[in-house]
Amino acid sequence: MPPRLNLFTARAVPVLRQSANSSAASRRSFATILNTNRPCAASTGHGLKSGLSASVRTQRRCNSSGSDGQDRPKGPTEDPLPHVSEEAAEVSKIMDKKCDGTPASPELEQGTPISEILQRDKEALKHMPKVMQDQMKRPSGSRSFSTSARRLQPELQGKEFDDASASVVANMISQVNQQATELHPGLKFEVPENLPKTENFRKRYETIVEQFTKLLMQDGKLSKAQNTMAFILDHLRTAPPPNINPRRRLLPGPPAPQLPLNPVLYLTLIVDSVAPLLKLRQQKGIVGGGVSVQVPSPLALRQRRRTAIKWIIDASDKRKDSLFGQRVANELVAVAEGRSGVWEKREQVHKLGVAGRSNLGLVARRR
Amino acid sequence: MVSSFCWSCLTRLPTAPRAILPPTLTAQRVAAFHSSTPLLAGAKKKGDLPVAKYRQAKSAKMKKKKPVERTRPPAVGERRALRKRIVLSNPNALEVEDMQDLSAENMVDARLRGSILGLPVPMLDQLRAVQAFKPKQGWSIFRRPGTVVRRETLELGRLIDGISAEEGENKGKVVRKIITGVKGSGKSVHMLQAMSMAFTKEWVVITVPEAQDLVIANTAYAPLSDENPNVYVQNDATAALLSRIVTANQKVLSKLTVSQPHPALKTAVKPGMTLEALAKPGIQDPAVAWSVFQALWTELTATAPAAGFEKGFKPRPPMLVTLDNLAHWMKETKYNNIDCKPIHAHDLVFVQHFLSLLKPSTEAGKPSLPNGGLILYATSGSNSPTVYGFEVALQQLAARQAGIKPSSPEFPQPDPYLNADKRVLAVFNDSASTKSPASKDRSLELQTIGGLTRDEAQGFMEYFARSGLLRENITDTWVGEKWSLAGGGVIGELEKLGRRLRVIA
Amino acid sequence: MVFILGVNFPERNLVKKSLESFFGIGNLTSTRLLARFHIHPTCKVGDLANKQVLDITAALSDMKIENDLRRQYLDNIKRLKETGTYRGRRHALGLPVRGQRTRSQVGLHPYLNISNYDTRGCWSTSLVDVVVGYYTKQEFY
Repeated sequence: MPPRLNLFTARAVPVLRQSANSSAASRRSFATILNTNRPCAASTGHGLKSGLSASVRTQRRCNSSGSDGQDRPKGPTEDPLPHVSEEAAEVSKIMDKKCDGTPASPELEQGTPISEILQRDKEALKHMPKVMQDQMKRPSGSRSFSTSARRLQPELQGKEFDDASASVVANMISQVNQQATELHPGLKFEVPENLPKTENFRKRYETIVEQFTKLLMQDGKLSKAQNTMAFILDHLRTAPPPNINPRRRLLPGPPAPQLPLNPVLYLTLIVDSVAPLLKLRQQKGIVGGGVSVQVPSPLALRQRRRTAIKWIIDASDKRKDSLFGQRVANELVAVAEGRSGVWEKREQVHKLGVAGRSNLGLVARRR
Repeated sequence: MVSSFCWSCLTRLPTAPRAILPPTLTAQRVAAFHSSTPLLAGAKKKGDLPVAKYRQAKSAKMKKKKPVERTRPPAVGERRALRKRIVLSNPNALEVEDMQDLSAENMVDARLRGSILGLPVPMLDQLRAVQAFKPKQGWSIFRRPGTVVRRETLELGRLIDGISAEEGENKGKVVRKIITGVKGSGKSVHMLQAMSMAFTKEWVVITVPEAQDLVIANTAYAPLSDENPNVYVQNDATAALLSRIVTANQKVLSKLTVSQPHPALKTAVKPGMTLEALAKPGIQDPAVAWSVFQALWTELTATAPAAGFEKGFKPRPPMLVTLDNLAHWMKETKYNNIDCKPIHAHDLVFVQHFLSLLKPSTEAGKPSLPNGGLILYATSGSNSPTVYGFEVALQQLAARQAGIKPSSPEFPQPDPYLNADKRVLAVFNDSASTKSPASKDRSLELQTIGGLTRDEAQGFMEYFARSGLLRENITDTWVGEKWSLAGGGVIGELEKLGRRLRVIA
Repeated sequence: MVFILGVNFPERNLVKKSLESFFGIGNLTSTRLLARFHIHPTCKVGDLANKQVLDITAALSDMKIENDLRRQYLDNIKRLKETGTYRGRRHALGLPVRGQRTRSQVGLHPYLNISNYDTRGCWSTSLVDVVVGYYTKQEFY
């Protein structure tokens, strides 16, 4: 999150004064108060002023005091609801108001601020204490240090900036804030589009690459299996493109000469092309006599791939290359070219599956 | 209890309907009443349990496993060849059209910074001969080998250009550098670039591709002579070095002729003999390899012909000497001396020779490379022994370069309790502090190679994309992300990221 | 094939391994021998120069190895027996000599402390054979 620095959000009039000054507020109902506050927040927060109803706008206008400019720019971090104590004051004013109009509790009792008296009474201005006179003479922003950031904000809030650079910075910040609020509520930068699944560092490899790697793993040595997998992918990348056997085509994809440039896709096509659709379950006790019959059952995608990868790795054991990765890579290319025995295995399973279809009826009958 | 069925009745029991049974099962089930009989029959066929003979002893021991039929192990040297095989081309990768070849003109061209320069095809044999390529540098996935032009490369190009220039302030200068950097930062490829530039400028290139090979006691060794039995010569390794020099620099060496008398060589050295012919006997007979190498070295460092050899003397070209994995030469070797104590690497005459090149002058007071040249010795980030003395020596070198005087308290000193090797420290102290007889020569420098800049990284990643290996939009943001992931543009890591292909699906 | 001390070694064998095939030469002795003649540890028998082969043979013939060493072993045991020591008696009985327990696992001792020279009139050719004899349960006594 960027720091919530907002140069325009400071209120010109302190919160407590706002409610105390407006005499009309005391006579309004409790429900109106809540109503006035909420749309204010909504309008300032999201820049949806035009969408507000006219009545709400008029209410807000009579609520706000004269010094509080109506189109005062407010940042998104403006307090949406008044402070709890302010609300309590309003409530108490309504609920247990005395006949003479004095507030019920002493801490809510408030007189006119000195600054206002001084504004209308020129005589008092002359006789005010020396401390205050000094304060008036001295420009208030000249202190070398500040103990209160809050107090300085009213000075910065005005439109006329003495310092040009400060105004530039303020403009830039307000611009960024407005852009951010206009484009994506709550986001500073653009939403990334089309984020690949593999960008998550826990899933940085493709699903099939990961599955293949895990099945290559021997004795729990994942790192070694990853090395082997890298070797296999590199081999697929550099080996000459496969001569596709017309009788055993791979699944539809890019033409064969383009396959090596995308080894992961190449691997996916190979594995998916020889993946069986079903497996044969040996089920006992359907026909009685303790003999088992073969019942075909469908496989999910991951299971299909697993079977195919297992077959490929098993078939590669018969090769004579000294490197494990080399054996598997050669077997993969053999599958792509339709030379491998894995294809026959798949056909065999499918044939048995077709033959065993009749047994599905038995299973259903038993249930 | 007597069954109410008779045998004949049992046989006439209705069988299961044939239609619902698989064909293989029906034959078995015709008269089956108990299931145990057919099951046992089936089981017996499978198991082949040996029937115990009468009164035969049975042991509780497990049966020995049958020896698994294994294929013959690969032939001798096959695995090694597979491990060391260097593939420089991938015919499946796309050709990058406007890739330029390295040439004398473009090696100083600053506009090419961040682009990839291909290595000229005729030079590949020379580079292979000096073993400039290493197996795991990823040459095998591109159409043809090429290297990134980075800042250090351009500096190197200017340096080599200046040294071999006809005129100029750098002409005939000698620059000595120790190259360090993190793993995968491109130290070895930097040296490869130096070699390729030196070949284009027709220098003599002498390389030691792996310093470790000389100290792990894999080649023969023997005392140099009876006079100094504590210095050892490695004849086979020297013969291999000579063969590298001759095959790689044949074009240069066959033009140069002998200019000095060589009394140490038994074969008659005639005037007018080429240097190639001088070196050949050393390759064939390792026993004389070291003296042949010394003769060749005196010829290459000669500035003027000796009396009687004036005819056809040509000035000798500058030399490039490179060495990879220097740290292995800073400790004791696996060789043993006659008392079965390990021999220090600095007692091997081969090592001594190459380390003495770091000093500006030989013991006789002559400049070690009078014809100019470049000496690049690199450390390794992956296979590197921890040698405390060497670490301190490198720190001292860096401090000297930063202008800290050896007398000042900030100058790094070895911890007296850690037993830094004095011989190691002395080598670098001497090389860095002694004044060179030729004023142009710079003393030993330390060059640290870091990551690529973002622009260079972008050029590198574009090379992947244009070779068809990477399917991404190479934008600034994307490159910036990868640059950060690669530890600030470490090129080895960038290469890993580049070849890890994503399929957006 | 190269003859070292009368034994023929194939050229592809390591020199170090070949030396260690002699009774009485182990890792340490072979390392020292190699260092003495400046032979690197990965040297093959075929790579040895003639002079080195002769040197090694000469050095080996000066050492007490093979049958000389075995004879010394047996002489030592014989001496223990003849002087009537406890150790000698244990050797003769084929029981552990150095105070090990005999309640369990004394099986290997009859084979290891070569005490059967007198009774059998011959001895096994090397310690390895003795141990192999134990594991293969060959008739030994």
